Amino acid sequence: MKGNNHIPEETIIDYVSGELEEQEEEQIQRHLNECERCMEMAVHWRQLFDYNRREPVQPPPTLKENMWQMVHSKKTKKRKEIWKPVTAVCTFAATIGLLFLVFKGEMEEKPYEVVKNDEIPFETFHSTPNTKQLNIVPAVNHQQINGNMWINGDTKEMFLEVDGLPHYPNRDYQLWIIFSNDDVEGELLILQDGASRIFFQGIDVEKFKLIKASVEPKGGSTYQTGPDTFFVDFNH
Amino acid sequence: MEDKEALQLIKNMTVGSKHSFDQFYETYIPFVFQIAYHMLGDYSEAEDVSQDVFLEVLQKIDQYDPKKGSVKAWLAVKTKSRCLDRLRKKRPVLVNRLEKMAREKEQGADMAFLEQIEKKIIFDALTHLPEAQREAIVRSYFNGETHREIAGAMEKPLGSIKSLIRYGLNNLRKQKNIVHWVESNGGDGK
Repeated sequence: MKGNNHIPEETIIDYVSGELEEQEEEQIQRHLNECERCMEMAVHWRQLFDYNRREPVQPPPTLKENMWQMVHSKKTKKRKEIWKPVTAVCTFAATIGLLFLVFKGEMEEKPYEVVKNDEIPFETFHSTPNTKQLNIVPAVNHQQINGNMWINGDTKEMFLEVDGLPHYPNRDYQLWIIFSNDDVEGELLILQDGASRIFFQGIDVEKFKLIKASVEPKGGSTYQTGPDTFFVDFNH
Repeated sequence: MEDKEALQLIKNMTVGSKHSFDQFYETYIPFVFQIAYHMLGDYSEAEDVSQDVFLEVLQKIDQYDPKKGSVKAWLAVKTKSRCLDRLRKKRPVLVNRLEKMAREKEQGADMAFLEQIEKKIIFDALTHLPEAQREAIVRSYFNGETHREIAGAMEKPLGSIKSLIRYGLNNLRKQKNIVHWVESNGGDGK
């Protein structure tokens, strides 16, 4: 099932909450009548909101002050970061722009679909028969990294979950998929609290030779320029 | 609150507006906290998740896509995602959730939606338990069987079932905080 045929979860939540215009609401209703997965999601959210109404809970009064302290400290940190040399910022912006154009062109031609982190549907292919799990091997200097990869040749799906990636303010992590014919595909890994999840649909997992990740300039590179952080070797 | 107004509040907060923070907090945090609490069944964990979501929103305001839905829906999805991450990575939270689910079931609460959302994570965690412990837990928590019914089905004394469940939950608590996968059964707990 193609991920982009489903309604975004946010839209489903707005539908359940009665936030949509009548016309859009009708469209969503029609889709839900035909799509089991979206209907299931709508039912879950409706039940959760009903439950919230039936069993209301209030956050503790201390939460507000704790949060404000956090927001305040983030803001101070951010201000310190602003005073970077202008030339560096300009170069950085130009690089991003250039890379964006390169990547945009490439991404439009990719034969597979990719979703990352929060966009990944909760029900992936983990319980599908013939799903294999592989361990992620950290590179020498990144022993705190751990995670797993699941692949399924029948469904042509791959899911990778990695934890413990150190954050570099001006760098991104990039995943490199090297196929048996030495073709290479690159995908950015988006970090959330040191973790990243990425899900591929329609990718030829049978032809994987090596998967690795490296630290690259912000926005990614067209080929690997930075050090390896972890890898998954399919030859062993 | 309109989405444009909410986004403006977030932007104001990032430059230190206490007034904007107060407004945003009063509007959205009760909603976020409720989702987190009902998914995790734990007050302090729900607090932590609410803080995580709040900070993430401040740092990633550019990721908000109005075409997908409202700011409130965006917050809801982020909260659910953070809760599932926490259940996946913190075994004690998962076990406490499982026990709370069982208590609420006994009180007649309809927990079907939570079971559906959290079932896969719990099943993944159960795959490393000895088979008898896993079976007893699945029968008790997911099939809704009484200890007596389980004892009959598994052909074991009633006391053994209570022990199996207790040992199983203790083993689950001790597991490492990364979800493992058993290739032979694909994590379906069978």
